[in-house]
Amino acid sequence: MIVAQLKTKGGLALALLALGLPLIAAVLGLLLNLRQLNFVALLSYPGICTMIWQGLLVAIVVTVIATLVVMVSSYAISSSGLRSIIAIPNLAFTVGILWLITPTGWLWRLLPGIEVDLFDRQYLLTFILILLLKEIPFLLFMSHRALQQIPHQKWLIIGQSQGHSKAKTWWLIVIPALLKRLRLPLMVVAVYSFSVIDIALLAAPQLPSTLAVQVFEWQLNFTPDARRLAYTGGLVLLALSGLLCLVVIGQEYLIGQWSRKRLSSQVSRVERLALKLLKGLGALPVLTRVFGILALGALLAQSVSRGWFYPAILPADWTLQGWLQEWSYIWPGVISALGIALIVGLLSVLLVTVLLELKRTYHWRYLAIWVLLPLLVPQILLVLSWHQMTNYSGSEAGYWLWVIWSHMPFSVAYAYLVLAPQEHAFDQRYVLVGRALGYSFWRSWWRIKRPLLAGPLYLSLALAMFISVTQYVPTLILGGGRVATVTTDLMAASSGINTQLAAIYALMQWLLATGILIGLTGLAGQRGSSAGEQ
Amino acid sequence: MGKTVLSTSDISMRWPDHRVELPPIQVNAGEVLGIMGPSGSGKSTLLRWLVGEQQQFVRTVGSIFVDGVSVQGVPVEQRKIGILFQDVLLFPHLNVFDNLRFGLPAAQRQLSIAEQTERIMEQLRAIQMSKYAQAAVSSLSGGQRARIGLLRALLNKPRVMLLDEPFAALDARLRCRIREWTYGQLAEQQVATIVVSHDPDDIPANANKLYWPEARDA
Repeated sequence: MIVAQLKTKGGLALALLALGLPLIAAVLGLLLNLRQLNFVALLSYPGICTMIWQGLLVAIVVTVIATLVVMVSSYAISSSGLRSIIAIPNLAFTVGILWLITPTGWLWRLLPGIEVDLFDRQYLLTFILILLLKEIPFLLFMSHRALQQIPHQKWLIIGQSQGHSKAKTWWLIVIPALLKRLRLPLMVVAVYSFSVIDIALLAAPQLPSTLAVQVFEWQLNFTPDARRLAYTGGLVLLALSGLLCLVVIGQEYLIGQWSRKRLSSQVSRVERLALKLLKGLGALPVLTRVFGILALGALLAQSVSRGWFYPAILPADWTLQGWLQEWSYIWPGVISALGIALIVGLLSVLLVTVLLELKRTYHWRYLAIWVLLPLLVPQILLVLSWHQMTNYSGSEAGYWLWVIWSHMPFSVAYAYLVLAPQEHAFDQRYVLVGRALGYSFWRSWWRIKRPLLAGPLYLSLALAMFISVTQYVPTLILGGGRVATVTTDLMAASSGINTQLAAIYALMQWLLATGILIGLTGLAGQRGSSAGEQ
Repeated sequence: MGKTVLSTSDISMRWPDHRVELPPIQVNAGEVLGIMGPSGSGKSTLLRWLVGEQQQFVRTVGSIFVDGVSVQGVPVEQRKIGILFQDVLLFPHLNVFDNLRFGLPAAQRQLSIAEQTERIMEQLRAIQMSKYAQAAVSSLSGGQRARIGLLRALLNKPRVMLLDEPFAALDARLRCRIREWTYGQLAEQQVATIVVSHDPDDIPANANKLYWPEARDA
C-alpha cells in the first residue's frame, strides 16, 4: 500500500541509486584499475612494512583500549558531556592537542618541573593518544544508545537478586550483550584509526608515514607509477581493514567466552586484580573532556598571542592582528563549508528517511550494512575510486557537485546511525491511524511522524552537516584543489610554521562545526521535549 | 437488519511455521462482530490487514469488500475503515482539539476555521468534554482518552470500525461505562464494527461472534 503512495518504483530506483551509486562507482573504479595493480612494486617500496605495522598497531591499540574504556565506563558516564567532545572536529582538535602535549607545549608549561617528551609532534604515541581522545567519546556515545536498547538495569537487578554482585552481573551479563551491539561502531573505530589521513598528516610519524597517508601522497603525485602504487596500496588498506574487523569480532568472542566460563566458576584473584586495574581506565573519559577544554583554551590563546616563547605560560602580549589579517581569507572557506554542509546534510536526512520507510515497506534486512559500508572501507580507497571514475575536469560548478557527492556517503552513514534506532523505536501505528483518518502516507508522515521524531531528525541533520564540514580528503581530491573549505584551509595552515595561523583556522573550524551541532541539537532538544510534553 | 457493509472471503494468513484459514466474515451497518481468541494468535494482524497494512512475517491473502466494492489494492486512507487500538494513540504533539481536527473528513477540512471549530466543539459538548479542548492529551484520564479516540475516529465518518482490544487498558469500573458508550455511538452512526478481544465481556451480548480458528501446519 505504501508502495502505491510512494509512487514507488521511481522513488525506489532513486533511493537505490543514491545509496548504491557511490559504492558501485567505487567498485567500478577499482575494476578499472585492476590491470594497474602492482603488488611487487608496493612490497618493495622502502619502509612499506613499517607503514603497515604502524597502522595496524595504532588501530589495534586504539580499538582495544577504547573497548576496555567503554566496558569500564559505560555505566557511569552520562551522554550529555560526550556530545561536546564529539562535536570537536578532528583537525581542530589535533592542532589544539599538539600545542598542548608536545614537549614545548602549554601543558608542560602549566606543570613546571614535569618534562615529558613522549608526545612529540609526529610520534606514534601522540597519534595514538589523539585517536583515543577522539574515539572514546564516540564509542561511549554509541554505547549509551546501545544500552538504551537493552534492559540492562533490569538485568542488574535480576543478577543481584540471585546473589551476584552488581559488578559481576555487569561484566558477565551486560557486557557481552553490549559488545554485540557495539560491533559495528568498534569496526568503524578500528578501520578509521587504521586509515585516517588528516590526523595522521599532523600527528603520526612521517618517515615513514602510515600506509593510508602514503597512499594519499601517491595519489597526489601525478606519475603513473605513483598512481599504480596508490591503487595497490588502497587495496591492501581494504584487505587489512577486513582483518581489523575480524580482530573486533575476535575480541568480542574472547570476552564472550570468558563471561560464559565465569558464569559457572569463580573469578580468579588475578582476574579480579585486572578488573580493578581496568577501573583506572575510567579516568580516560574525564581526561577527554579536560583535554577538550584545554585544547580550546590553547587555540584561543594561541590565536591572539604575540611572542609566546617556551617556557612562558602566557604570551608576551595579546593581539587581534592575526584575526584581522586573516578575516577576509577565512570567510570564503567558512561559507563554502557551511553551504556544502547544508546541502549534504539536508540530502542525507532526506535519503535516510526515504530509505528507512522503504526498508519498512520491503523488509530490507541488510540496509544498515549498505548504508554503513563507507565507514568500514578506508576512505582514501573510496575517494581514489571515485576520482578514477569521475576523472572530472570541467566547469567550477562541476567540482562543487562532485565534492557534495563525495561527502554524501559519510554523512548519510552517520545520519543513519543517529536516526535509525529512534525510527525503529517509533510506534508506526501512529502513521496507520493517520492514514485510516484519510491522510496519505506522506501526509501522515509529515503531520505525525515528523513532529514526533523532530529531535532525532535535527540531530541526524546536525551530525550529517558536521561530518561534511570535517571532510578533508574527499574535498581535496574530488574538488580538484578548486574547492576550498575551512577544513582544507586549516590543513594548509597547519602544514606551515605559523602556529597562530593554524590556531585561527582551527578555531574557525571548531566554531563552525560545534555551532552547527550545538545549534541543531538545541533545537532537537526543544522540539523533542515539546512533542513529549503535549 | 442493516445492509452488509463489510464482507470478506477466502482469508488465509500464513506465518513461517503455521497458517490460519478464516471463515467468510460479514458485518452489517450498526452491528458488531466479536472475534475471540488467545493472545498472539493473529487477531490484531487481521485487523491491520483489513485496514490495509501488510505485516512482516505474515502473508495474508483474501478478498475484502466495503459496501460491496472490493478494496483490495486500495490505500488505507481511501478504504473508509477506521481503527482504534487499546492505547488509543492520540497524537501526543497535538492537543485534544487538534487531534479531533485531524480526524475531520477531507471535505470538512476545506471549511473555514470557525466552522471546523464549531463542529468539533459540538462533538466535545456532546460528551461533556468541551473544557478539555485545549488540554494536552497527556493530561487526560484513561476514560477521557478512550472517548476522544473514538470521537476522532467517528468524526472521519468511517463505514467500518476495527477495535483492537479497545478496553483492555481501562479499570473495571470505567471499562463497563466506556464499553456501553462506545457501542452506543457506533450503533447510532450505523458503523459496521469488528472488535477483537480475549475478554468475552468486551463483546456485546447481541454481537455475532467468531472464535479464532485453530492454526494448521504451514
